[in-house]
Amino acid sequence: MITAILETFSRVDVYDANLQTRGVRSDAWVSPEIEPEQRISSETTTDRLVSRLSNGSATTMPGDGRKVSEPIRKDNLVIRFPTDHVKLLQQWECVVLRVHDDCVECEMHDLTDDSQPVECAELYLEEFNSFDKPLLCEGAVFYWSIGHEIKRTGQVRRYSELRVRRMPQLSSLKKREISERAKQLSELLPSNL
Amino acid sequence: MVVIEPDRESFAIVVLGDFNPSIFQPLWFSLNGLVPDEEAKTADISVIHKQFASFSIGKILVQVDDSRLGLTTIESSQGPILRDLAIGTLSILEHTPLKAIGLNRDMVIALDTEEAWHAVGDRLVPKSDWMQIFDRPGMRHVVVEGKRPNCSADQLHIRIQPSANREVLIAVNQHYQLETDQRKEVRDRHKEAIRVLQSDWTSFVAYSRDAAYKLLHLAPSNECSEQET
Repeated sequence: MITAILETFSRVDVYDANLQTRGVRSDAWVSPEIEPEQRISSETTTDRLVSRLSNGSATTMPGDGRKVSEPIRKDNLVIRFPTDHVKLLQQWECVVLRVHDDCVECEMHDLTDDSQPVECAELYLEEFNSFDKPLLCEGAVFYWSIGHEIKRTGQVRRYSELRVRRMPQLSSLKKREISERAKQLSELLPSNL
Repeated sequence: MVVIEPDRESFAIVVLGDFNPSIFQPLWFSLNGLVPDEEAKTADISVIHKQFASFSIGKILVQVDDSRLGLTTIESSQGPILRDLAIGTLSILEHTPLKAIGLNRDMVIALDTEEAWHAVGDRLVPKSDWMQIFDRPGMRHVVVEGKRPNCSADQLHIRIQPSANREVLIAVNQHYQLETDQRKEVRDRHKEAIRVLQSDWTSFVAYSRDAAYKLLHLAPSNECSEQET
């Protein structure tokens, strides 16, 4: 029971050199044997991983010419914290009210402290990523994060990022389900409303 | 301005279920409108294979095998984007049987002195019993489980682990069992997973930070900054 629950833990870890002599479970390996039909899509990517993990010495060439990688130890896929990092100071969830001229007018909800009142702001359109600009319309949601980017050397830079929320387009089946549900609900309302 | 972040932190959403790792490719995410095309094209691919896929899109790491999907970011500003990506991914995989979901926040907090660093281990794992067995016992890591009041999660696990440079890692896992007697249908489990992500994420983020500061006997930093936004 507990083992199953702990499977939803993250794989983030802090490096502990003293524990590297621990035994490795037999299932702690990935065997990336390349299937013929997957060869084109995965060949280079597997090479990149193996060369990174084992200093480029692990790819082997069987008799039929296919490249096959040696097994990868899952321990090597544990996520480590980077030495450079961003220290977040404040973050808002912003709802676009309207886009006019070169400005985005928005309502800002503080994700840092939800007791803070809703604020309104105008941001320059040029502050947004080029791939996010087409998504900016009334009702779109974006996140504004500010903080400090701290380098390994101790250098500190001001950090500000705007990212627009992306959600999958609804399938036609889903749209039909929602329409039917809306129709059912509207039939419950009095007709004079 | 309230400083909301420990020295370093990460967020991860882990879903257990029956996945097909080979469909998880950066282009799959961009074709479904979940990430920008530009980021999908420049994704850092480690491996994509029928048993396992691991790659980074933007600042989010995707790791998936046949029973586990993990989305992780090691940048604190990406928390809401990670949550949105998980909601979008699960919305598309509406026929994938899900078994459990876990919300994770891992925080590394540096303590001011070595004495304070040792005091955490001494407080969480008292040494008197261990001193009878060997010399210089030290805490490697501790995992404690429990239930969070007023929360529908089935279990909470908090792992505390010392790190180098007087740092302590506190990993908080909020676990939900999706496959239950009440939720036998795949569709119901999906609805619950999406509800968890939509309704519980924000409170989990606040709770996990408060838990970390309480366990380390630290007061959250409320110092004002002159920094203009």
